[in-house]
Order: sequence, then structure tokens, then C-alpha cells
Amino acid sequence: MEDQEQKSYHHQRLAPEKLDLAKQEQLQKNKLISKMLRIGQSERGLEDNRLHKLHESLRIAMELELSTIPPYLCALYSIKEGDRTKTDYAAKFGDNAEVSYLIRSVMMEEMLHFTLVGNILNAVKGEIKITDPNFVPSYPTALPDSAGLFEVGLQKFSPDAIRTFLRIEQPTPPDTPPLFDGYQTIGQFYSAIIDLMKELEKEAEKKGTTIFQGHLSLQIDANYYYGGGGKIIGVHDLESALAAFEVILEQGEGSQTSIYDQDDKDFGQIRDMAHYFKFNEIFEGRRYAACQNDPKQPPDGARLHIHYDQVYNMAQNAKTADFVSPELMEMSHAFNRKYSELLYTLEEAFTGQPDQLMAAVAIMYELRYQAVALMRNPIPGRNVNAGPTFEFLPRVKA
Amino acid sequence: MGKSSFFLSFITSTTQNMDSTEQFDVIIVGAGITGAIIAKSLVQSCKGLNILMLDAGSGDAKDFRTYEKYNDQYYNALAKTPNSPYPDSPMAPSPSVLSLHNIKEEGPITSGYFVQKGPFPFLSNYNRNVGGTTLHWLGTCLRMCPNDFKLKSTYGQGVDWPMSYEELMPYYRQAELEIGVSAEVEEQKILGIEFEKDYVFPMHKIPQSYLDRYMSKGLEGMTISFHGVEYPIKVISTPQGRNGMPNKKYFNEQTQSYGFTPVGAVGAPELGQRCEGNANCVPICPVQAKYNALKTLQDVLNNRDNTVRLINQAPVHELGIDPDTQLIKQVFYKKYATSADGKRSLISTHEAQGKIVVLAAHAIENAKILLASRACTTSGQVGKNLMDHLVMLTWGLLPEAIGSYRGPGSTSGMPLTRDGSFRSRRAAFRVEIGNWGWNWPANTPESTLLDAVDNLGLSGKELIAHVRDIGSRQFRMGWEFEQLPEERNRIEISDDYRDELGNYRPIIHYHIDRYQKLAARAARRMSKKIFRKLNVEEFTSYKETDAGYFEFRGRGYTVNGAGHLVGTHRMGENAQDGVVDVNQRAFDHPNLFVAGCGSMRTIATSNPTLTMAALAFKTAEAIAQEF
Repeated sequence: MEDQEQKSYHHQRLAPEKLDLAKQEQLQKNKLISKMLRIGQSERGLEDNRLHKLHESLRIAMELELSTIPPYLCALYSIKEGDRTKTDYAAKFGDNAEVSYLIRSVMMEEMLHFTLVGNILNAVKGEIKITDPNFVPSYPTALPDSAGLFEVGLQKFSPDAIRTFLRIEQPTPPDTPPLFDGYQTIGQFYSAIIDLMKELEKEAEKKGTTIFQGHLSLQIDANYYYGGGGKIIGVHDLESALAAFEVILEQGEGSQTSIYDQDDKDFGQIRDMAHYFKFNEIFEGRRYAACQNDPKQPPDGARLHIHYDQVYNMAQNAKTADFVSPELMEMSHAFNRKYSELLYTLEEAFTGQPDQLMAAVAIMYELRYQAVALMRNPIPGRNVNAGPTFEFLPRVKA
Repeated sequence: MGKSSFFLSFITSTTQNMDSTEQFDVIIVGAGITGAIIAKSLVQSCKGLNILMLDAGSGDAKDFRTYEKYNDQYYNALAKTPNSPYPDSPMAPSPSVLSLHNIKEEGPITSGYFVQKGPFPFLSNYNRNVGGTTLHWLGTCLRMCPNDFKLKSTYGQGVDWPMSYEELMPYYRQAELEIGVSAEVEEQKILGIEFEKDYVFPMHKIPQSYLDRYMSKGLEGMTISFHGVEYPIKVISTPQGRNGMPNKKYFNEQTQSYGFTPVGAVGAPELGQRCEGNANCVPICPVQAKYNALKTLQDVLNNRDNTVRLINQAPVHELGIDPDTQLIKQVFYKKYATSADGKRSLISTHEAQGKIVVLAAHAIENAKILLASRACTTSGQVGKNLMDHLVMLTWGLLPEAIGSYRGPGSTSGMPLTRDGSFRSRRAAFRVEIGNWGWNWPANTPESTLLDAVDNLGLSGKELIAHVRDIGSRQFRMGWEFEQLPEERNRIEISDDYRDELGNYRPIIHYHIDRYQKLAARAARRMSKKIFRKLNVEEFTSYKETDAGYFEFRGRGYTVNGAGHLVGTHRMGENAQDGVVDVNQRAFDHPNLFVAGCGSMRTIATSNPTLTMAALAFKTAEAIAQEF
């Protein structure tokens, strides 16, 4: 174990928390099973194992991006909104609206990342598998193919939830090697994918060909993707693929020298902080000062008044079966049907029907209303409320 | 605003500002769409300008939090009137529809902000806050048609404009970029309206509602005869200042590049990049997918080449005129605030000097300031020629569900009745198809529920089934009549009527005439024909107690205001004929511009905002040449 004190401020949360042994074993086991299932499924028919590895890694990256969204959503939707016209609004809710805004902006960027990886995967002619039950996360989970050092679960907005989010978005320390399997930071994993992609494209070039043979019509463009923290990039060669990866890495981690991503330079947008640092503002209850830029320093700006009590008391990592009352169970089931429909709709969007993204947006709204409705309802006999369980219900194939 | 108002119970402290008069290159009065566009255009084309913007209202939603508060105020409001989400201060009140009544029955209206002498009530209102009435507008962005600019020479009615459609065309294009208009050129090439070769709107049209398509199909091939000429009854999508799918073929002249990026909410740009169909554009779009002037203002305030100061809660009451040069020497304004303990009103008076002064307040407010300053007197037209669209509604139940209460308030209309030879005898009208059931005429769906419970005695599943059935078949049409300029329709001021700050309240004299009444009759006939064809069970009813009720040739009609207030400082060929020239520069005062809908000589049948925005770009061009 490294000495935490020696590390820069923003790397100190990298060390594993003390998960109890049983939990850790279960996480490892889950990972192993899903992995074996995947290998069994997709190894066939591909001659170049490394291209297959690239495809598989990109699929895992999509899964990775997707698996962060439900936890962020639970935190976001559990924060009560309050009525701003009431005189006691500020005293009661403090800066909770600011906090919601921060979480939402991160979540929307995760959606962008998910879409960007989908574009990259399509560009290198990989198969999109969003609705493969082995790819849909089941909570609690570990980040797919990660070192599994921490648990990612569904819970209400709380310091504990934010600590987990910080772990997810942890910037990669310098001199950390790229790593596919057992990575500790998402950056490590992406670096490994980027290296492999460069290598494969270089070899292909030598043979006078390219790995970017995917159909351009499969790319999601700005007509269909909007609003999610930056502009979508259509991927058709190595350069555009690298640009897409750069957005993902910088929005997530920032850079070694800055807490900000490069959005302002890229898209003429307002200066936007990388995910880790947005969550860190919440965690520390303090904004970064306008003049701050150094990731090694803790935030030193205005205080954020966070009222953790103005939050729906959602049960942690619940399943539909836990909800006791038939009405709640039906509500939860309806939510999960919608959620599953969303995943199928997204899959259609990536496989030639980009206009399905419009339908997906409508579903996302319905999910929001259904999720909040669940969170408002107490589970009979328990002093916690229900909440969205994000259980995938695969379509029964005819 | 009675004299025993609640505010007077406060101790009011008034201070005279002892600072020396501040100097500016440009002073813009009003931070609505006209003021914002002029400011934006100036900061883009000039460097080093020192600009002051003054706004009367207490609401300043430059930041996202304040806008969210507007949303909450709207959710809480019992009467969801157009101004219900926004602050309203007795120091700079906004007119409200709740102050209206039938003048013939109940006498002049003196409560509220407007003083209405009648004989017909003026039925429209506007919003006095930063962002102006674009906060609650619907977003309709119709261009005027070429004949609208020459009503007199073509049809012998009203007056001609001193400019043509062709002259305004390049400015319409700029306005459509700034507002972000969604439409298809192919559908809008009607009534002689031309577009530049290869022009496309920044965004594709907002998808037409199911009702639009249902009507389109049901009325296919239908025509109506007016004075011996057949006009097609055709459903056509309406151009809207509302974010939709960007058109990749759009060519941006400013950046010399293709494509368009929709502008989202101010302070939360990832919100509102597409219309979400929240179905309450009026009074407030919760995500700002609908354009509002706050979007333009944010570009103004973010500019780095010029200094812009925006002060709200600062209504201008008078301009100081140099008797020798007739130049505007001072702009007088008051600032109001509430003391920290909320118990006292703090009022201070100020003056500022501008090389150029632009009145860009509302048509009525501009006229009020000019009248109070005894400015622009040569033509005698200040405050006169007030016009509005009179909106008659007809409503009924369709035989099948058409999905009412979804999407923007209106996505299509029947625009082919906007121009024709009938205009020599009666007003033209635009037909608007409403997507929100009977919300406007009958305050549904709330009243549907109350009626079912109170009058039909329904409950439980029967109640749900009833509301669902009726609610999804309700539909209404709006018939918007043009009005001709008349001197008797006017704004006046009097020492008898002032607001809490001591500023004048507008006194309105207003009439409707035979030209519109004949249009109401023609519209009623067309409505009946359409309802018959679609098997609509009609529920239209006009009551003698309605504020906008009138009788004509034995039949009763009720009209409403459209919020399109036009004509109070009209442009003209010369100082005898109008208050301002084609650049909205006052004939009488070389350094004064009076901009906005008040400059329009006729109202025609288009919602005036797009034309006002186009004129603002033209005005900004003229102002920029001064520096």
C-alpha cells in the first residue's frame, strides 16, 4: 500500500476502501461470469484476435459509460427540488439546486461518452451489443473489467454516494500504465484501447487498408445527439477517433495540469470542469475559486451549502422483489420495462436508425417521472422509500 | 393601482442622485428583443463602445436560478395568465388580462395598469421585465407578405410603408438567425413571400401535431370563396422561434459556414436545445427551447470588446431635449428597490447622457416616454394608430381523439387567407390551429374536470374515462383579424393617473370598426364550413359579458387580444407623415431612435416580433455608422 500522504490531493482516493471480503468475492465472481459468457459468445469467426479485442474493449467501454448513469440518476433524482418562490427556500434547500446541476451535467457528459464510444465502435465495424444481458449492469456492480476495488451501487444523494462517484472519475496518476484488465482508473483502460487502436491502424496502413471500415450512415450526428455537454463527433478515421477519446478523457479526468476540460477551446463553450472536480466540489462542500486550476489543490472558493436531509430516502440497491406492496412492485416493474425499452431503442439508434434517439429522449423523460414517483413512496414496514432498480428485462425472442 | 395601495403603507425614501450625469455612447431603454438585438449588433460591429441598458422591470433572469424561480411561480399560480410566472412590481407594473371587463356594460377600466376609456377594451398585455414579452410569447415567426407593405396602393385601405418587403428581406434573414427559426422554405413560399436563392431556415420545421395532420387530411382539396375568388383551405406549418432539428444546409452569413447550433437555456446551455413538447410555451417554456431575448442579452453581456451595463428596476420617465439643437440631452430614470428589511421602498432619481439614445421599450411605453417628454411632436402621430390582432376563437369536439394538449401551442395554420382582393372591403385574417384543446376559450382541462364532477356528478373510473374522452377530442381554432391604423385608437397620459413611482399610466382609447367586424363574419362562415366537413360538434359560445364581446348584423362575437401591440410611433416618409424613418430614427431628434413594434405602419396578419427583430437589425446598422 502506498503512503496516501505522499500523493497529490486528487489522487488520494485511489486506494481501495475496505470492502468486506464476502462482498469483494461476490463482485469478482460476477465479473468472471459475465466475462466468460462474453468470450464464449463473440470469439467465433474473427481471425484477428486483436481486432476482436478492440471491439470487445469498446463494447466494455460502452458498458462502462452506461453503468455510471443509473447511480448518477439515483443521486440526482433523489434531491428534492423545493419551491423557489417560498421565503424559506434558501434556508431549507441551500445550494442543493447547484448540486443537482453539477450531477446532471456530469451525467449528460456520460451520455455523450457512451455515444462517442458507440460511434468509434461502429467506425471500426464492431458489433453494437447494448441489450446483451451480459453487458447490462446489475447493481451493485463493479466497473466492468476494473480492478473491482469498489462497489458501484444505486443509492440516494449522500456523502457516501459522492465518494463512490469520485472513485469512478478518479484521474489517472502520471506513470500509470495503460491496462485493459484490472484497471484502477478509467483513463488507464481508455489508454490501453487507444494504444491498441493506433497499433492496429498502423499495421492496416502498411497493408494499404484501414480498420475504419464502418458504414458512415451508422454514425450518430449532431442532428440527433444534442444537449449532452458537448458536441458529438462523427468517427471515420484514426484522427476523429482520437478526438472522440480526448473528449471522453478530458471531460472525465481533466488533465495533469488543469481541473477543466477543453470544451471551451473545442466548442466555444463556457469553461467546464472535469467530472472528478465537479464531484469534489460537492464532496468538500466548496466550489473551486475562479482562479484555481491546479488539480493538486483542494477547492478554495465559495462554500456550497448542501442539505443532505432534503433528499428522498431511497433504499440502497433495492430490487423490485423488495418492495412488498403489489402497487409498488408494479410501479417498479413498469420502470424497468421502460428502462429496458430505452436500451433497445438506443441499440436501434446505433444500428442504422439514428432517429430512434428522438424516441429515446421521450423515454428518458418518462423514466424520470417514474423514478421520482418510486422515490416518493415508502416501502411498507420499512423506514426507507422505494426507488428505481434498473433491472433489465430482455425481450422474449419470438 | 388604487391610491390606497399596499405599497404606500411602506415608508418610502426618495433620494436625488447627486452624482454627475453619466456619459455613454449609447443608451438603450428596454431590455426586450429590440434592445437586445440592437445592443448585440452594436457590440459585434463596434469596439470600445460604452453602452447603458435600462429596464423597468424587477425580473432579471440572466442567471438560470431566477428563471427556475419563474417556473416555480408558474406552477404555483392559480390563474396561469401570460404574466403569471414573472415578477410584477407596482413601481413598474405590467398590464394584466385579469383587469379587463366589458366597458359598454361596466364603464371605463381604471384598475390595473392600463386606464381604459374604451369604448372597446384593449385586450392585450405585455411583460415589463428583462427579456420583455419574449418571455411569454408563443414564438410564431411569420414574415409579412409583400402586399402588407402597400395596403393602400393595392387595396385602397390603411397606409403604405416607406419600405418594401424586398428591402426588409436581408434583415428578416438576420432575425431568423438570431431567434433561431424552425421552418421549411418550400412551405413558406406563399402569398408572394420570396426568399434568397438557396435559402433555408436555420432549423427544420417543428413536427406538425397529429391534429394538424388530421385536419390537413380531412380538409384536402377544400376551398372557400371570398368575393368571388376561391381560396384553398390549406394547413401549412407555422415558422417558429423554437429549437428543432438543425438544417445542415443552413448558410450562416456571419460565420460564412454551414450548419446551425441551437441555443439552449441561458446559464444552462445543455437544456432546451430541442423543443420537448412541455406544452406551456405561453406563459413560460420551462427549458427555454423557445427563444427569449435573454439569449441575445447573454451574448451582449459576454462581449469583451465593449462595455455594457444593464440596470433593471430603472424605468425611464422622460427625455431632456435641447431646445436649440433638438438633440436628446438627458435620459431621466428612477431606480427602485426594497430595503433589506423589506419594509421600505428605496427610490432614487438619475440622469444619463448618450450620444445616441434608443427607446426600445414596449410600443406603449415608448409612446408614453415620448408624450411625457413632449418629443417627436411634428407629425402629431405619437401614441396614435394603436393596433392589435383581434382573435376570435371557435371550438368544438372532434369525432375522434386527436391528442390535444401536446406539443407547442400551435404548429400550423391556414395562412392562405392572409392576403387577397377581399382586403379592399374587410380585414384579412390568419387562421391558427390550437394544440391545447379549449385551454384558451374555456380554461380546460381544469374546467373539464370541474364540469364532470360538479355538473355531471361523475366519479372514479367513469370520471377518468369521461375526461380522457372529452379531453383528447377538444380542439379550437383562432382567427386573427388585422386592424387598420386610426388616430382615434391612441395612448394618452394624464396627471390623474400615475403608478407608485409617479410615472404615467397609459390611458387607452380604443375602437374596433366595420373592417374587422366583416372579417369576423367571414371567419365565422369559414369556421362553420370547416367544422361541418370535419364533423365537429361545435361548442363555441360568445357571452355578452365577455370583455371583447360585440354584436354585428344581429350576431354576437367575442374577440381576444393577441398581445401584438403595434403602431404607436409609426415610421413614415417624412416628419409630417411619421415619427421615425425607415431606420427608426426620430425625424425630430437626430440622436434619437424609437424602435419596436410601435414603428410598424400596419399590423397586417403576421405576429409582429419577427418584423420588429428585422427592423432592429436595420436600426443597429444605422447606429453603428455613427461610431
